[in-house]
Amino acid sequence: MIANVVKDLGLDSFNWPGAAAFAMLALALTLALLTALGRLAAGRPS
Amino acid sequence: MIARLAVVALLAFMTVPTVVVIAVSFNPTAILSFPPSGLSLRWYANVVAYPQFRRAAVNSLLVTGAAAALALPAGTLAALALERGRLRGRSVWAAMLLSPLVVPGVAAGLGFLILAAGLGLLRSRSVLVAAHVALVLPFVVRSVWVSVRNLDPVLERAAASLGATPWRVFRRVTLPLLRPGLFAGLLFAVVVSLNEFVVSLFISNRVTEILPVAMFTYVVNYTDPTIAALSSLFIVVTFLVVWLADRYLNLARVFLRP
Repeated sequence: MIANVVKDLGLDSFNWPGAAAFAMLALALTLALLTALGRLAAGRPS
Repeated sequence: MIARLAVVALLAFMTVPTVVVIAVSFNPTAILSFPPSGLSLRWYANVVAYPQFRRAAVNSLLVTGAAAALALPAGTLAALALERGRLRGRSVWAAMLLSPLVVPGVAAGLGFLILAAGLGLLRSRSVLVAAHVALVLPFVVRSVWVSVRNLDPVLERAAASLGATPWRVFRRVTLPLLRPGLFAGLLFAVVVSLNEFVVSLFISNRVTEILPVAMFTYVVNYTDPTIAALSSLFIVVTFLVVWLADRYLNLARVFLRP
């Protein structure tokens, strides 16, 4: 799970840049998923 | 028949974890076993006696109270602006206000952590309050927005045509008509803030931690039914708040009105 990696890096290892990179990955994945779902919903015949 | 079975299975799937937690909280032994071997309130006594839970409960009340008090007026004004204001890029503003719903908690939590560290606020509750305001704001905006959309502008025009000033119209007509949406927004703000965990884990310490974070810390260190007792209390309080709000404020009217 990306969230666990971010928590371990950010709170336990104090590797904030590394944690930020993984957090951005989680954000990008979420946005990509939302965009794809939005396009699917928009393309669906009503 | 199959549909009924499916509904029963769905209800069981949703409620069984809660039932198990409540049942385990009455276990007389220090083992998290189900079904419980007897009935005891010793873990509830342990919840009350554990000082970190008391401190975290006070922190939770302070942070939730402050977040709700700040988010409600801000969210109401935002909803009014989104529905009635002459805004450029209305959809962009709406997306920004509602974005905390889709931003992963770890990304928001890390952002608040780095920001708070840079500002030297990591030992303060203010960063927790700011984060909770950001997290509950979408719920307030959505609830009040629905009420604003359902508001009949003829009523406000009638009051204005009878000589009421804009402020008087807002205070005596608009706000009372928005009351169900405001209470629904307040309810969501309180429930979401009370249960918030991920972002709070990043930006709280031993002194400022709120109840869900204190529960996590306890679970990491101990494995006894104390946490089940506290979870049961949490469930009961949340259920009571929602039930009372629905009974006296008729929340269905807010969300189901055509």
